[in-house]
Amino acid sequence: MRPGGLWLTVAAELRKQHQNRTKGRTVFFSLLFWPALAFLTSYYSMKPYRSGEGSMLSQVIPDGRIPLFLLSGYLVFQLFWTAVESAWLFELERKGGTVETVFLTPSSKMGFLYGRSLYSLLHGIWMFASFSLLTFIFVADMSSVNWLALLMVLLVTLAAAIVWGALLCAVSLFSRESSFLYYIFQAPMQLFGGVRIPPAVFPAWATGLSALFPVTYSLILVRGALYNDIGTGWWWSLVILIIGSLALIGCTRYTLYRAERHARMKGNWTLF
Amino acid sequence: MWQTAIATAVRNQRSNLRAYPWTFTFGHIIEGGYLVLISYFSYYYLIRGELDAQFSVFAGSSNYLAYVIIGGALSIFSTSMIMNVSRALMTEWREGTLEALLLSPSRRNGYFLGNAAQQLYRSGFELVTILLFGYLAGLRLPTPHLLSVLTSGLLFLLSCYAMALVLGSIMLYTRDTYIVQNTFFAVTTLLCGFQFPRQYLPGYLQQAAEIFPLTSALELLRSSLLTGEEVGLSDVPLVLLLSFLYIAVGLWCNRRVERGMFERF
Repeated sequence: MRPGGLWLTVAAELRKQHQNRTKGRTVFFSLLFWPALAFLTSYYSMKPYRSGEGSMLSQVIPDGRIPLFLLSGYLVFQLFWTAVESAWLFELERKGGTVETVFLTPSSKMGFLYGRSLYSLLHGIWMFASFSLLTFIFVADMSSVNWLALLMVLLVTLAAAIVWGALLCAVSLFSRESSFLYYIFQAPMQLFGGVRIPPAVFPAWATGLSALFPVTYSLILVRGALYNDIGTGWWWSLVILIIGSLALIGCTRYTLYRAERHARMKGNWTLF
Repeated sequence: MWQTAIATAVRNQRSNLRAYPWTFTFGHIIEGGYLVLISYFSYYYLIRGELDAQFSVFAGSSNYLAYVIIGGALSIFSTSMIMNVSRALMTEWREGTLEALLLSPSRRNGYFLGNAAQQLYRSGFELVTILLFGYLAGLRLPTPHLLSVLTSGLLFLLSCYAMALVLGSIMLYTRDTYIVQNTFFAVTTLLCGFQFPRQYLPGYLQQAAEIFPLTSALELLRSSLLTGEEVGLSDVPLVLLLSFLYIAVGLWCNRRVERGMFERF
């Protein structure tokens, strides 16, 4: 492969996805309207809890910070969720028979997976991000935000989400039915990742589960930067997230290799 | 009409068992299971049982876990019912059988009823499984008044059916299921009071929820389950009236849309 071939593939995949998935104004709903409604629903779901001075809730989430807590939760969750969605949509590529075409070309397959994941993120997140930014400005106590850390953390989170999406895409190369990804990841990611409930209060077994999702670390990082609460735990999360993401890239490569071999063995002459 | 209903139910059951994977059902069960888990975690670990004083006033009971678990289970159940009935004609269209259906002299009401009846065991299966999870998480009910539960349960079913008909005609008109159904469910989850008492919402949103028969049906069913309260005769006519209005509008719109269906393209 020529040097720069990887980027060429990524760019080509971005272009392909863009032409494929931009369908008029309907994107507005999935990107802005639904997440906003989901956020409102969970905001009101927390209303029956006793808050204020001396309550259990205020020990975990300081009083008045519930909207910001949920917003940051939803922002990060949405980032990872768009990556899951890209893997979920991967099944269309198989049904359409375009995976074979891509695999027959000499282009980089890793580039193909990362291009997909990256596009999903670009496509999915900008509207929700701008919505969140606006709300942050209204909700957040600006003086407590550590802007440098926040910016850095958001970039790391974006990268982690792309890696996560590419891994899931590689996993869905094994099966035509990838909607199971949706069912497996939507709810557990929200619950154990700490979108609505901080993992700090979980019992040990649930903490173990939450350690498996990169969402958890990203949320610790983002919230730490928002409240300027940067301690050793924060640095540890950063290290784990970066090392974990690098490990996941390796996993993606391996899964891709296995999936191709699997397809060659089990598939028919058109490969799949 | 009954012949059509039975024929449709039998046909759907067969095609569901043979051609469609079970992922939808399992997905709903998983989703419901997690709704239960989220409530359980919030209640025991996050707030350790500390509730807002207003909750028991709004909910009529201080049993938070039972309140949200019933709400969550019914939310999944109504989603499943509404989604599958409203998509019936769209599925027919996608599978290429809509033309044949339109040409046949069968009654449309029977067709939808058959769809609903078939969906009932699938959604019922989901409901029972989720309630089992709920039982494990600590859902306990006082002895409910059986007749009230039955009445309000039937009203709940009727309102799901009525809303599905209207939603189905919108789907058929826009030729889209994804956007329409998800928008609809995002709105009803927020407004109808599945996860929290509606009284916490701002006034105008509370009033907006009144246009759905689901809202009052849910309130009736939950209060009869939760507190063993008898359903008063005064609550029933509103739900009935709204449901019949929705059914009439839905059937009329479906007829209109069907008429233009093959001419537009």
